[in-house]
Amino acid sequence: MANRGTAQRPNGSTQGKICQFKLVLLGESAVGKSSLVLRFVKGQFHEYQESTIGAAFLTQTVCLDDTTVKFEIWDTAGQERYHSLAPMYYRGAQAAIVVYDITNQDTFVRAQTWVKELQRQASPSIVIALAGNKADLSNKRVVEFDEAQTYADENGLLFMETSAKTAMNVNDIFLAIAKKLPKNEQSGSASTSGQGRRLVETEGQKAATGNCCK
Amino acid sequence: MEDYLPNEYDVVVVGTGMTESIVAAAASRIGKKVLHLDSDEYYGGLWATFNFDGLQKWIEDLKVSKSSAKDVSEVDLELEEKFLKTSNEYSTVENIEETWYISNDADLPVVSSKDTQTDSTGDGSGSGDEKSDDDKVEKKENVKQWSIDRIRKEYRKFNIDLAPKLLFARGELVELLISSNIARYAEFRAVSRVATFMDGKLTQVPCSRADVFANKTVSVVEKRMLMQLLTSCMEQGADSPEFDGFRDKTFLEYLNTKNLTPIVQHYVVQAIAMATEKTSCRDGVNRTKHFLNSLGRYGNTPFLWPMYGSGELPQCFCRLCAVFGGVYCLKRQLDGVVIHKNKCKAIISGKQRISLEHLVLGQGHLPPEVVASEGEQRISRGIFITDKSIMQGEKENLTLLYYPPEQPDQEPVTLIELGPSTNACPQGLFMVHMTCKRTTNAKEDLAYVVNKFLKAEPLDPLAIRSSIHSHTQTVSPDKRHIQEGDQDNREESTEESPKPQVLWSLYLNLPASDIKLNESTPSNLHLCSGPDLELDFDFAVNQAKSIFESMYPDKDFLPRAPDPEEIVLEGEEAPGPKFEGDTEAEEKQDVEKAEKED
Repeated sequence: MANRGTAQRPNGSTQGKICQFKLVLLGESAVGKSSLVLRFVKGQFHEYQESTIGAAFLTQTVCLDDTTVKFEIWDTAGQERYHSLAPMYYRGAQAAIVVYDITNQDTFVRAQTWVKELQRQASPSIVIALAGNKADLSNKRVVEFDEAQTYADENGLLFMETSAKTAMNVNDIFLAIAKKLPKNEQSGSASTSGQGRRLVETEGQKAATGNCCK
Repeated sequence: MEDYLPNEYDVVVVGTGMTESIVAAAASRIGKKVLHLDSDEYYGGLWATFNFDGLQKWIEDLKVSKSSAKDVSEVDLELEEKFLKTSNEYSTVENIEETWYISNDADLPVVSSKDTQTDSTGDGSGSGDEKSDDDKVEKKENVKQWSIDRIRKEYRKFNIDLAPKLLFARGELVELLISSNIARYAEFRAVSRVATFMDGKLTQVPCSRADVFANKTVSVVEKRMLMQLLTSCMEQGADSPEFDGFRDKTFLEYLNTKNLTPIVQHYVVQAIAMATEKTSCRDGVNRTKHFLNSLGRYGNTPFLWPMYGSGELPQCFCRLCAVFGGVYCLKRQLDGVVIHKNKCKAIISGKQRISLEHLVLGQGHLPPEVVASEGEQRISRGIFITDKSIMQGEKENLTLLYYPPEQPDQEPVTLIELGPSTNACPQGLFMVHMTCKRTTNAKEDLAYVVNKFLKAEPLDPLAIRSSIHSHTQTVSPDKRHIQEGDQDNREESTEESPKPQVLWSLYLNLPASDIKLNESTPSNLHLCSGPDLELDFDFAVNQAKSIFESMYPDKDFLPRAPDPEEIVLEGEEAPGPKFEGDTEAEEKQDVEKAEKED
């Protein structure tokens, strides 16, 4: 608890509006979903990264002109492994990153299935980005950039090749998503994504711990 | 081909119902290695919520009997081991009856602007809306009527609960969601009104002190009476001397001694305590207390409804379980359990033998050998898609109605009406859930309430067109409020409003929730019941707690999970020994992580 909120504080001047978005990560096991998040949120990379870290989600903010975009980033917690991701995972998600590994053709094929799954389960207005991760391993590349780019264009997806290891395009892909998200009043002030209410400790108790919702 | 799963766990949970999911989360949270299976491809079992398409598929699948578990002879057993085949007979859904009251697109006449003219006169209740109708003529021409095709097409906008349940704002589940930090995964809406049927019509029950004093149907004297009674229930509880003389009497007998006026008595019995003539004084007082306790925390009433339906909540607990390393595998059949010296040693699933310390089974996965009683608390359910609220108001409402029996052979019915803002249905429609104890079958048990509040007859296409103009599904959201408001005022003066038209209904009987295991059941086999009759989730939470306590008596039950900002990354100096692609290693590390937090 000592290093609470090191990287994710927006730098002091918060004169603009703050928008909060739920972003979900999808993709096969071991394509680097968690590594991308950890690179983005904590600026760290470990070759032997734990896939999930006992966290429901992590948060990180991105500043765009006068708007602060706060991402609530949900990782699959391994539930994708046996095709058992719960529908609640997609609820209220305004953005998704579908990740594949450029050194593994199968993960690219599966990424396309995940995109279909999003189109079926998630909100129709969800912003989807495709990330070809492990771009640092280009000597082992099997998925061509152009192939993925064509697929992304045909399906209206943002696309970048990323490397959680070298940090290449990691911030950029989140930034691109932030730019594409609608930053209207509703998304701006809401502490919730699906217009419902979240439960928090009642006022007295809240001060000590409460932070899931303001 | 089935996926290969790691084959050693502390806890194997089969079935993703509410109780099972809470136990799974609690075990995972304290660092136990958990495998959570479900033979279905969706979460929740009989607690599930489906979109319209998913529900249709569920109904279809019920017609096809599930492939029975494999033959005992195929199972390799060691010395002194016994194999018990599991059965799905204790989760049998019966008397499914689905009915459409509307037509297909092709059978509907085309709506044109000409129809607008003729229809507004044909409908007795339409007059108040003419002004706004005129403004909207152009819009209306584009608006489709509700047809079978249209409902099917908008399937994703429906979330239909098999077992709809509310949460008391200070009930067991709300407290657990908050204390465990699982509340972050879900969103809720407050039930906006508690209704009761009095003097031949539905009225809103004043719930809060402010409501009571603002209420015009209750006199000042009655208000004092009510507050006094509620205070004694609330502050003293059922053990207070106040109730000494009524230990073996009914709640009604107690109230009769308080000289309450009929209105006050009605509110207390039917809306607050939701009691019948048979309810004991103790139960009545406790129920009243529970209701009052939960007031004032969230919204107008003591109740909350989970957005997207009750079926979201088991999934929230499953996610927590997964976040702490639990392994999830749906569409995975449990064939049977291996017993050795009165201990459950392993399960057989597909080609795998999976060993375990504790086995937690939903009632749909029990070996018949361990069942002592099949239970009696069976449930009758009715689900209705309607075209308007049973009690139209200025805004969309989320309504709870308790309707007591009219005849001695009837059971009290709980009615929950959901609007589009809960994501239960698209704009312009409402979803009505009725639940009662089963006596004959769902349709017969609920008939007296259905007939009272709904128009469940086939709708002829001409009638559809006239009703479109008096109701609200066709106009843009901003004008809707005004229009509904108009209607509300009008209805108050004219008393009788037309009943909501049912577009679609589904009746079904859920299995008993009070199955008992016999004494020879292995002590490490734990039963999780299906949905019970009560309005809330307390039964499931308490059952999960007691299962967890019997498994791990010295451990905390779902201690608070950390917030995102509290997550400290491990291994910054010394990288872990395993590669990130190693799936088994991932689970292990998660568990270690969980332990560190404890």
